[in-house]
Amino acid sequence: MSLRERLRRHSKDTRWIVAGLGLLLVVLSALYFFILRSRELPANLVTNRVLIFGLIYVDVILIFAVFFVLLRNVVKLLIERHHRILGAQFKTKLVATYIGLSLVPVVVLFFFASNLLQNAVDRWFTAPVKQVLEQGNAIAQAMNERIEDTLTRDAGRAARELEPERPGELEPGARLLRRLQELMGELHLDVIAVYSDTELVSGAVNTSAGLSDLPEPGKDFLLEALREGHASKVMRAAAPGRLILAASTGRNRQGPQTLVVAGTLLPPALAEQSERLILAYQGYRQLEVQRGELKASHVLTFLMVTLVVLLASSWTGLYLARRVTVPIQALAEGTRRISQGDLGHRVEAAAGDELGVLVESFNRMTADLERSRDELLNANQRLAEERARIAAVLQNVAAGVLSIDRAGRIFTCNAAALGMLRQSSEEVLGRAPREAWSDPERAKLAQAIAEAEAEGQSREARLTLDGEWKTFEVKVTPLGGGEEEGGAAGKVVVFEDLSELIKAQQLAAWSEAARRIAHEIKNPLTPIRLAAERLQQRSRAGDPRLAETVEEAVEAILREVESMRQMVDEFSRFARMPRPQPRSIDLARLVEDAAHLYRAIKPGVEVRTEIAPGAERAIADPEQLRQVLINLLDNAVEATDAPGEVAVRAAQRDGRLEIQVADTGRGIPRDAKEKLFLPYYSTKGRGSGLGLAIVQRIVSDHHGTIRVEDNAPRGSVFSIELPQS
Amino acid sequence: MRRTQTTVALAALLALLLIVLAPSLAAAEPAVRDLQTSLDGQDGRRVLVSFHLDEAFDDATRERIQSGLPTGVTYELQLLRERRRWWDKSVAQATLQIDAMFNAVTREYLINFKYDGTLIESRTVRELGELERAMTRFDRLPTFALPDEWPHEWRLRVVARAVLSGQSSFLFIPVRRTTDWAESSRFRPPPAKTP
Repeated sequence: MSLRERLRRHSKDTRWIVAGLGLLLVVLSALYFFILRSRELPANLVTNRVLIFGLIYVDVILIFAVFFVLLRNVVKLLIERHHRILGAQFKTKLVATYIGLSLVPVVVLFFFASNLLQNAVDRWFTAPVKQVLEQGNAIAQAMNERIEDTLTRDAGRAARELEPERPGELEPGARLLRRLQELMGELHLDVIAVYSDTELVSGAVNTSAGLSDLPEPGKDFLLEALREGHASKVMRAAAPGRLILAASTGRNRQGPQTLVVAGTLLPPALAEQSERLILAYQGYRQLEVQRGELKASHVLTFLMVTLVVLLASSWTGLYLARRVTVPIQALAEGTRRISQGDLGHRVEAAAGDELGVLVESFNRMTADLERSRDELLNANQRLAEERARIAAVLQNVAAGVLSIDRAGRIFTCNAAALGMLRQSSEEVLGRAPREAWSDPERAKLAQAIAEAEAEGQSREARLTLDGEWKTFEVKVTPLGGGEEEGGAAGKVVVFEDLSELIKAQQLAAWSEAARRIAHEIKNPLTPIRLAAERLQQRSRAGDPRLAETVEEAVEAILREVESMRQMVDEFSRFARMPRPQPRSIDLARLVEDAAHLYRAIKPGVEVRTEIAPGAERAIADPEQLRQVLINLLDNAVEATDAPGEVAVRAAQRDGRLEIQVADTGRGIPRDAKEKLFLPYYSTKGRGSGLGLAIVQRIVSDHHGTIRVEDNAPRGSVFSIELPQS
Repeated sequence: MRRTQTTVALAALLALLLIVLAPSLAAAEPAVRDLQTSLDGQDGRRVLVSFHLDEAFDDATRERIQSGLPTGVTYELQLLRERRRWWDKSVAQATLQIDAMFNAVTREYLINFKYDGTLIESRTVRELGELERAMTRFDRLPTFALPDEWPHEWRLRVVARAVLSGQSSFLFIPVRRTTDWAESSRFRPPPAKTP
């Protein structure tokens, strides 16, 4: 049976229960009426065998009904438990509780009450009651016997008087009748009759007592009197009261016997009292004889009431248990369906109490879940579309983009990235960067990613792929996910191929360098040319000041040639800078010596050093590092106006030596920062413009990096990082 | 030890059975005895039955009768043919129901005799012994009439049993006491007279 059907049946049950309770009320009322009236019913009706059998049958039917109801539900529960139906255990407990609550008290009450009932019936037959009734009966019987004895004596006397001398000579006639009437008067009789054997000869009745006809004593009575010599009996009379007869024979035993029947009419009141006493005792004896049946009748009636109550209470208990368990089972079934994904399922349990509220809440929750699921599906759909759009965009952007999940594995990689790295997606996807890029060149990219992530800023990676130099700028952006979510959900790595840009920059730089070299060469050439032309002009004119002019021209030409030689030497030195020879150096001393050179150069500009603990010693080429510091300090002191400050700081951080030269000077414009390290670029308007290019070259040769930033609140900071391993 | 316990348990069970069954073992059971048949009538085709019921009246029954409660004995009689492997041996059956009731006022016992549900005699007696005799002793009681065409060669017998009511009960349930069937000796009806 489906849950829906059970619920519909459950609602129908309510009508049956109401009807059943009404019927029970009627039955109990009828039984109560019967029990109240049972005292008025005749004992033989109460102890009637048919009634007892009827009660037994009703009781047996009720016992079967109770057992059927209980057994049916127990079997159902066992089956439900066997099939592990949700809620079966709860239902078992509830049914057991309800049945226990109704069964135990009713059964206990029945045994106590039936015991009390039997004791009460036994108390009816106590000795005093029996004695009173026995004595009453004895008195009534004694009175009758006394009257019968008197009548017997009177009948005997009359028989002896009326007995003929010879047997059979008793003749009916007026004389005999007259004598009978006389005897009736003498003996105070109401009836007198004389028989010859069993043949009535004559008789008389006392009409004044209300008797009109001679009573018929019956042949058995007459025969008994003839056989025994006397007999007596009590019989109903035609008149009010009761007639007592006694018969007695004469002395003659030969031939037809003379038999006289004498009778007296007991007054109605006396007869009634006497009869009541006798009947009361007889009724008592009947009850005593039927004591077992009487008890049985009462106990069976009580058992019937008990069983009706038990049946009703068991049924009601089961019904109440069903009212609770059916909605709970519906909820359990609903939970199961929902857990299987059927969010459209609704529980249709008709319950108006808290269970109804629970069912309603459950249905509301299910509706919310269904709505949320729909929204989630829509969101997922939108997300998938968005992802496809982004993927399309990413596939078409020039930059390489790849994403790394929380576990550190690459899970997306666009075509540009694969193209830049000259790899296929199978070589990259699902692997950690160090695994995907295990070769020494690509490993630099993995290293750059790690560094960019750690520092939170872009890094450059220079590598050789298939014999081609590549420079990538790597940026790492962590994806969302807070501390409570276990950190970042991953990261997105964007890297751009700067190789072409750098080539263009280098080309531009060399163009600029060539332009400057040309300019620098052209500058001394002009005075040389002018000096030569002047000599030629004076010579052609025969100017007497030729010798003086020659002297001056040669001097100018030599000066300019010397300037050109110095310029070429510097350029040559830049081009032929030796490879660094790193070793352990006293960094603190080196920094202090360099700073010391600039302390007195510009009054009002303070030059100070800050060496962090642990940075007193470092690994570097001391000559080249000194040149780096002097170049940077030279620029910083020159850019700083008094009052100002130039600070040189050194610290060890994560296995790298960091040296900063910070000033509070004019600062460097944004566009100048990009060209600052190019050869022959200068913002000072003097010098060769190779100072910072040499600095960058030395730092690069040490496998370090150099960057320039704005100082707060003003000025610039040059930061150098040198690996120490 | 275990054996001793088993023995004690068996002894207790036996004692309980004896206690329960002793009264019924001690009390003599009612029985129909001396069931005899004779043939009567002009052509000898009426079956007369004589028998008596012993041990029908115990103290409880007498007490019941004396209290004025109606007490009855029903005799079921069957006339059977003696044929081997004959599935339907019944030729005729009759029921004799005797009800007695004591009138304490008149001190008489009224006895009603019913043959197959029809009242055939009503009698009053004054003595209990006489009542017992009237209810338990039957002499040449005309019970069955044989059909005229009844084959002479078929032997017959009569069986009878008594059903005593209102005398005992099992727990709350009144039960009827029924005697075993008593059997008469076999007899053969006289040959039918040719018209």
